Amino acid sequence: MALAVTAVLLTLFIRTLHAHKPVTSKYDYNRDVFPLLREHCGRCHVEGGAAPMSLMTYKDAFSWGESIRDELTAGRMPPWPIDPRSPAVKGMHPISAHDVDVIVTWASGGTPRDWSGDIDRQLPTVAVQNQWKLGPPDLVVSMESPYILGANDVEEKKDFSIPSGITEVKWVRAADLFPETPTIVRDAIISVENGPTLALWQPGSDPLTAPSGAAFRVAPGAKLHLQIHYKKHYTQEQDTLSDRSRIGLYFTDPPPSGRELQSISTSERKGSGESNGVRILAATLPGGGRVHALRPMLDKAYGSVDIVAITPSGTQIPLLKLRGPRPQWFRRYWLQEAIELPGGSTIEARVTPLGDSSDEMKASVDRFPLQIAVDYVPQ
Amino acid sequence: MTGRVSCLAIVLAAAVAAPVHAQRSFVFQGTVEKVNGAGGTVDVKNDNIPGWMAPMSMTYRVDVPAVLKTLKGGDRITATVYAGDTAKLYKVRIAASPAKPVQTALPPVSYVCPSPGEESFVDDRPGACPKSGAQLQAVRLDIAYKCLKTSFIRESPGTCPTDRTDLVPVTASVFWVCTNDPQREKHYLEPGTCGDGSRREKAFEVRPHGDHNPRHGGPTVFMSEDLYHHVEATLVAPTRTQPALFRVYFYDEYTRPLHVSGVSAQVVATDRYGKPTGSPVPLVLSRIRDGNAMETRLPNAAVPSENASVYFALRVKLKPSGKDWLTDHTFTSYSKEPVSKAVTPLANPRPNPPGPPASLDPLPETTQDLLAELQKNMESVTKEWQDGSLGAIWYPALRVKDVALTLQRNHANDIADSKQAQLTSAVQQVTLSAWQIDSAGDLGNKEKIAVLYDAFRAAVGEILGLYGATR
Repeated sequence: MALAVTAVLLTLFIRTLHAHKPVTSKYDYNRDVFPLLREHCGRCHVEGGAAPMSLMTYKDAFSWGESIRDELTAGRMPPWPIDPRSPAVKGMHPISAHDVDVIVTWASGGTPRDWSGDIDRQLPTVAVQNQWKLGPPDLVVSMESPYILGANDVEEKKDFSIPSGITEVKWVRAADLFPETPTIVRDAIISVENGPTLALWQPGSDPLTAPSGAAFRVAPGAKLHLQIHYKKHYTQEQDTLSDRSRIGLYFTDPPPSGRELQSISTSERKGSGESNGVRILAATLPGGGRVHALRPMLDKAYGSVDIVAITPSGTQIPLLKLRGPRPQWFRRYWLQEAIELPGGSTIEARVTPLGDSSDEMKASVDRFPLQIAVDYVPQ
Repeated sequence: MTGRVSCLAIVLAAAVAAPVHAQRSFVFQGTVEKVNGAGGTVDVKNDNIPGWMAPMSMTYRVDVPAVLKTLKGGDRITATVYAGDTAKLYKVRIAASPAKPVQTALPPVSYVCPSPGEESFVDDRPGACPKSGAQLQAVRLDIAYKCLKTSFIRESPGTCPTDRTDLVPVTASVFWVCTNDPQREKHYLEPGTCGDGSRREKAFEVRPHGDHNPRHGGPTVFMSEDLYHHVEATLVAPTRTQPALFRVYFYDEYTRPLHVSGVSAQVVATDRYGKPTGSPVPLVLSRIRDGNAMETRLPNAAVPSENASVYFALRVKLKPSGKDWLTDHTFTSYSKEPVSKAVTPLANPRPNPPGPPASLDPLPETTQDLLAELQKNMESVTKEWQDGSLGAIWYPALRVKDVALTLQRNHANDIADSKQAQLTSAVQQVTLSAWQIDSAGDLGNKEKIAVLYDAFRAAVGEILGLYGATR
């Protein structure tokens, strides 16, 4: 096969290299793969984006074929680990098996550019979207000074305490982050000091608002706590970079109930992990309430996370099912439909280890202890 | 991966027919990277030697072994080398002053032949290719650093951004391009300014014989005297049920897998001087996807270690009527396969042949036939797995995946709405597992396939159950 490929390429100029593999993919970049990469990957894998490489042109993408294949087939990318059997959550961006197959077939089959022969076809330009995705915030709070990531530093987690400037009680329906230097901001946690977590920010994710009747209460004089995970691309490793991110808060009217969104966290059950490594975590809602969102915070990669609510009568209500979640892609999953639970109900999570003996299975991230945070409005 | 480039041209005919010093001689200059006292060789990064060799790191023998004791890493040396013999350095001397090589702003211009089969010809002046007569083309050659498994390449050492392994040195042509120009494929030999005022971008292209990094954990890549065929031998550790495996991979001058056909080979254990210590054992074709390997089990092979190297002599006949191509292989440890396959993709995209490849084996159309196809291929996957045919498991696994996707695309309505999420989940699992089985099968990774196989089989069973439930 390699000899056949060489024969085909006899007429090419010396400056043009030969493909390593025979071209067996019926899918090409221009027609089949670019639209999928743009849809599933273009939020981060774009010039100036959070990812270390763009995939938005053929020249950028084709050389990453093997990596694309590895990341997709391992389920690491795109970082949206919702199991198709999960109850619906808001802002879902799943990739279908068909789309995975098209991209992997292309990546494995010689990464052809354009089967019609029109290799110079102009594809739409994809630009990085660094903007307030929910529109102009009601309040913008900036880091007090730029943070400098020096030439010898590649990765850091930094905590910042920022006065909110709020002088009266405010009800927050959403929070967002606007990085000044998006290429080095990997993730962020926005919370009120000694108060609720307002947002778990990830590049490429859409900020979502709390549903009507649910909001976070921020007291006058509150300080905001911003934890940013900075990480340079490999091309920036020797550079000195700075960032002065801004927090945007979106306010709403006080909820009719007057009650704010609260959260409880699960504890690991005694004996958890002893049977096949499956860990069981649980939390009880003493007075009941309306569960709006879940925040699985992981200490390492797992095969699956299954979260159900169990009422005192024993009824099990599925809440969320994740497949192959990774610790670095933490999120607040807003349920499509909030679940009303009576007092004494338990939120239980079964966390199953990855099935193979990969290094990923063994590695711990040590950023968070394993727990599930439940956001609810108490009755 | 050591990142060391190593390539030896075995010149059996010349060694037998005529003394090597009768050939044209060249002045060799280079920097010692490592002295291999036990093996009697030295790794040297040579300067450009027009007409003999472009800059690269290679392993050499020396005419006077005692000189190795005087050398250390970082030494600048001079030596004499001869045309046709790229394996040995003669009259090695440490340079009078261990000064650094003269730094020039740009690598010197060399002239290479564009004709197929003559790409390795290099000269220091314009001219014509020795065989085809085509005009030589001007290039600048230098060492660049590349991911072993992807095309990422840059001018300084470091780590690969995708898998964090060390970048490996390769010989590359250096040029500059203007990506915004209409003639964006044009290569410039100097930096400068483009028509739109932007700076020309520096780029690299791996040269033939520019990447001799082993792909499968073997210690070295050897080149034949035809300058086209290359081999990498590996010695894989025995398992509880199987003795050690000696496998040799074949490549072309770009270190691309070369399909083995009409080749015969045999291996024999030797002592450190190359004297056989056992009987020759023939190699058979390996059942791996690239089809570029031959192998044999060696029940009596000694265990290699740093203190006790194990030596083998490999004889290959590329054609039945061809002469023996002899290479000697030294193992100080068992070979370990890298995580994923190496790729040397394009630096500049090339036009594709028109039209996508035709489907070799169309799928059935009806639900019933598709389900039968699914079961049949799942049985094949199981059989290949149970037989240990890891290199062959990929075909039925990917076939199962294609059938599952077709069922979902064309016959999802055969299943109740309440079961659609289950079908989506099962097809997703089949798709991801099939591709992973494909990768793991090529690497012979039994442990990984065992886990994948269970998940794969369960998902296929789920699909069959979903469709069976509607009948």
